Amino acid sequence: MAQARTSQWIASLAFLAIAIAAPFVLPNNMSQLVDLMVFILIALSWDMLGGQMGYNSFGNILFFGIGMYLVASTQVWMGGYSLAEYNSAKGGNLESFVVTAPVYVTSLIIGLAAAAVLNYFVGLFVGSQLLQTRGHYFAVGTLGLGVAAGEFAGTMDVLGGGSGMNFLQPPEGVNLTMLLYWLGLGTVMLFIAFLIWLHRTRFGFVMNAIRDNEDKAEAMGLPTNKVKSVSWAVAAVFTAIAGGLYGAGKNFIDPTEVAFSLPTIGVWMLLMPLMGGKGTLWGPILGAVLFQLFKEFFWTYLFGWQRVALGLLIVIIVVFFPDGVMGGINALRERLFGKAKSAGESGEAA
Amino acid sequence: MDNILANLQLLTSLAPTINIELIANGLLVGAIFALITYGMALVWGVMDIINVAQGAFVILGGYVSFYFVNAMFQIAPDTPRLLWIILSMPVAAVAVALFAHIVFKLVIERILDRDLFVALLATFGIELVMQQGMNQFFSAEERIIDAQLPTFAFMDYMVNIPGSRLLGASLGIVAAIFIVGLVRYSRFGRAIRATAQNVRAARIMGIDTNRVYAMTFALNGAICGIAGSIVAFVYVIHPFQGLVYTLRAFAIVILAGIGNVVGVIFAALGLGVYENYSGFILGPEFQDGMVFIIVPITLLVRAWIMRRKRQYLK
Repeated sequence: MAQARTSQWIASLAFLAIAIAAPFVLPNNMSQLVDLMVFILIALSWDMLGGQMGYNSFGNILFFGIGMYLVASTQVWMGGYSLAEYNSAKGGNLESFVVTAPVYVTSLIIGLAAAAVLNYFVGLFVGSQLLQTRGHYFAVGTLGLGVAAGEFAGTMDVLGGGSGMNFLQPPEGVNLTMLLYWLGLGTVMLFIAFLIWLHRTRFGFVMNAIRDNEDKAEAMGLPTNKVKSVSWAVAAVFTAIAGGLYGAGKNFIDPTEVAFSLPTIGVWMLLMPLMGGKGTLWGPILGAVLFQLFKEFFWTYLFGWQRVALGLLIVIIVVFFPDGVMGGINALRERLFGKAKSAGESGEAA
Repeated sequence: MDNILANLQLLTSLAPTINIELIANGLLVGAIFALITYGMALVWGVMDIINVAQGAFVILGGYVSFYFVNAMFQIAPDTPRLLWIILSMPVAAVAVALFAHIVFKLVIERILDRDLFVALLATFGIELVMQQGMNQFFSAEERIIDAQLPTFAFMDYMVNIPGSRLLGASLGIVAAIFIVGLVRYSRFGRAIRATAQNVRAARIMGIDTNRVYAMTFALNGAICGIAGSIVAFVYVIHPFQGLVYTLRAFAIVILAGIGNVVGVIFAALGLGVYENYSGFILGPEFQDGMVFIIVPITLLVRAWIMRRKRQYLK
């Protein structure tokens, strides 16, 4: 087991090296790289429940949207403007709302931190309630919650109502995509380190026990309810940070098309772990990279039909490749070298 | 907050006749929801597949009906509109049933023995393909078939019920009676119910269960086609509206439970009334959100009730 841990640390260092090199190799694709960091975050946090705990959520988009709105609002508020005034000025003279570079950067970071903290408690509360339902009822319930959140966000005039709100314009001297990329990469590395640590703790084993047989886990006296809601709360933290980064990159929030957009991001965050192989650490990351490549390819070469192509991709992945890339690699390894020796390792990859 | 109170006051004291209108409109739209949900519950109960693409099937039926009626007007402008609108129902039913069968052969057949999450995600993918495809083919414009029916006024014009809604609800009820009768009394219906109760036993008795699955899914397509052709002349058709119908059907199934036809009817009518009331009291922008939030809330209430018995929703 210690060996597996070392190899995971080596793999994360390799990932870090590639990620650090990426902006210098691909300086023209910075916004795609920011999106990639966002996708890795939401894929990993979806996988905490979907892959490791067996609870397939369609509602993580809730935290994504809340995080996005919260970061935008914090920035406006720390810039010294009233939120209602800012949002009612939309469409006209948004240029008059300016902030200095240090204020912009600090307010962005504080906004992300606030989104993280708030969403921990949102996740804890929603999880303690909704995670009482199991299987597909949980999936359907979270789906309802996710789309309802978008509709309700669209009714709040202080948040710009149905037409959404803009992020503050980044002032001169702030390289926004660079800033978002390094913030995103930092969060991703933090998350990866956290997950490597988590899956070696008792908490991580309880998560897997819940996936394998929740009734037995409960009968053994494991605190299943607590573990379930805390896991979702942690997933919510990273999803919210991802939402804030994504919104700042896009510079515009539409309640149902960007922030709480179930048909796009809301489904993509399920698709990425499936593509890479759910229930593994590197599967969701690999899936996010693959998905971003597919998405950019579709957007470039199939313009107009790109969303049809993405829908087809979902169907094809789910129907034909449910185990993803990591599942394929594991199957290949088992065929070549026989079953993996460490029970913990093969159980994790299942 | 003030406008909510004002609306409540309007309902309770100033103009209580609005209640009648809201309830009537709610019941009329509920009949269509009941039809859509019956198809979803059928597929859910028989095949253990939750069809997220249900709403997209409905919208597809609406488009078939829209183009059929328009084409017929062009060919024979002097014939009565109503004839073509009613005739468009079987046309849409057959067209969507065929489409559903293709979907079944391509996708659903391969995921029958997989877990429900796979079905959810796969049908979600189908929903996305269909909504975006319809957006490309039929454009994002809202479409409506103009039935040219009068609006009926009661109580000195205090209560107005559009004739198209009355027609739509009654056609929906006729279709529902026909379909429920089919499932209850025909040989095919008996095979469906046998498969739903016990697949192994049904196979032993010589029922080709794979064929039953295919037929059930096609029947669901036909139901959606009929519902879509009603929606096309009562409300509007838009490519992205499918998910709203799907979530309404979810809410109704969860409220009523699978395989409970009477429950589905009452829950559908209740949801229609609830939707109209929440739209009126809170404002139309809240209407969809209030419907969607019903799904998690119902689940929570059911989970609470079962928790007291140390059971859980599964």
